[in-house]
Amino acid sequence: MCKVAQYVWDQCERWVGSATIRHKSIISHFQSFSLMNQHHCVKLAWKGIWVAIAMKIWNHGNKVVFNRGVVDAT
Amino acid sequence: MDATSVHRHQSAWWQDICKIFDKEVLGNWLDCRCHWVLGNEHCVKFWEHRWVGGQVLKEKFPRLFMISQCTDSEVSDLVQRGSLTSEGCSSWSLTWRQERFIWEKHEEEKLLALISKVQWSKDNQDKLAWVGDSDVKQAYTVKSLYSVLFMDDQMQTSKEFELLWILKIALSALVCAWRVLVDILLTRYN
Repeated sequence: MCKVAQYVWDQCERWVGSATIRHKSIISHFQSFSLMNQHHCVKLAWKGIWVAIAMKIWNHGNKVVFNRGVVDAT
Repeated sequence: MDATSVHRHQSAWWQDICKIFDKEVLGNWLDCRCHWVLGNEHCVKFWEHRWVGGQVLKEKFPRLFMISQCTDSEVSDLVQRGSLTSEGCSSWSLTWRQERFIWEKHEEEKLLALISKVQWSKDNQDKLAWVGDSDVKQAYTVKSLYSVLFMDDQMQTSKEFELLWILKIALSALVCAWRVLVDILLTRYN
């Protein structure tokens, strides 16, 4: 995984106060992102957050590549 | 037979289909769903081809395969003359490289019990038949292929996607996330 993206994920996990292992596949990452929260609505919210983070990383990556964006995750 | 490997003489359509369902993901999906029906033409290999019990005999009886003297023989070579009836073949000429242990004899009995019940169709050629998703219906249908391919456990992750699709967020974000998950995002690698 890209180092910057990994850093972002780590930051986000620290922010929500959960520590997870580093997953081998992206699907297991998505699956485990809400594993602790059994309630359906809560689960959905977590999935939404996952999508938001993934989307943000992707868009920013595009910006860096095509639009001379700056890589700065700190 | 290695039905899912891609050869140049195959039609472009077939090559594309084989590429989509590549071996590492689904295994030999076509091989696994076909079996040989014995007829009067002699091309079915006894140990190598899937013609009885839904499994290749050398995988089902690996020990017997190891000590067999006829590892490359065709089924019809191993049938003893005159023993072929409409109910199957009662007598086989299987030869072994060494004296069998008792447990190997048990294996051999099992093997003989299995193969003696196989039906032969004397009037037809040996042919490949589609097994499908149930034992009763052997005719090939698109539906049976679909259910075979999509019942496989690699599709279990689709449950996760159900969760994804009911999220109430922008569709473009959903599609992007879906692309990430199934690894078809347009990156340098894909």
